[in-house]
Amino acid sequence: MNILTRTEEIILLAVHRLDDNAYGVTIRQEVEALVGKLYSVGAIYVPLDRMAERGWLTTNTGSPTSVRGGRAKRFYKLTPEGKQALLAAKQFQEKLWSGIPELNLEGGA
Amino acid sequence: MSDASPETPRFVAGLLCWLGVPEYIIGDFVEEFEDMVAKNGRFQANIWFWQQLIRSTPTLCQRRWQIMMKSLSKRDKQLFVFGVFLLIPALLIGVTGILHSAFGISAPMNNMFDFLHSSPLLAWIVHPAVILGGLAAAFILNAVPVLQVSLRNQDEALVGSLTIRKGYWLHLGVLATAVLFVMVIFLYLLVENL
Repeated sequence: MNILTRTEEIILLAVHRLDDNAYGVTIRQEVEALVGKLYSVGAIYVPLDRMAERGWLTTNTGSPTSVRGGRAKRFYKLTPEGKQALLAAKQFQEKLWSGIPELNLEGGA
Repeated sequence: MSDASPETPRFVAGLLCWLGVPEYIIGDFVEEFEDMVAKNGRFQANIWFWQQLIRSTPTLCQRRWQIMMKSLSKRDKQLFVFGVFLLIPALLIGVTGILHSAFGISAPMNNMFDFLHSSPLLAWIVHPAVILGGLAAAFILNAVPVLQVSLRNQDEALVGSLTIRKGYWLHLGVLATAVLFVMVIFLYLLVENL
């Protein structure tokens, strides 16, 4: 099984949440909102490219808009393989936590 | 950069083009920059743009490197490694020549080490010869694989990586000529100082 890294999982979830509006800017903003940490514009493209190459994401280029100086957006969409990878990550996470005694922050083990 | 986005800092945007950043990523920068100008003003937006460039450069370089390596055939990779091995002595000779010319000393390497030992750190870090040597090394290491791949594949992204502004791009041949011209001047100075 190919387990997702934490960054890949967060980005795939962001793409899934954004549905048809998942492109660089919105994905970055969604990831920042999810994680509560600042990401640079370039930071998400390396994992995005990697996941597109693995077949977890498909890409398509939108129409150029005046807002971006006439530059087109590249939209990302989850593939069935990407959804499968996310589900596998979720199941793995649940498996990891199953049977673990409740963590108690107020003293004790 | 682009005529359609005149407000973005030209130098930073030019650097993005030079880094081989594709149009859709530059579009993301521009979109967020324009959003930032509207919300916080141009000054804050400029600062944001610079910060983004600095923070994004390592990942964008990594991305470019990965794309470049994927586009290379096994034969190209062998040539690239061979080229790098050839570059190392060439760079050593070149940098030594530059230092020799700039310092005007007869035994450049020995005297350079003496100079480094005897001078405060900042004095030699900011020395023009050191800066020029570093820039030359960075340029050559960056330009060689780009030149190799772009000439072979006519890859638009890589050829476009030397775009200065939209519609105005620096031809690799012109750039190579300029570098050769500078090298000839340094060689001339080197010979003159021998």
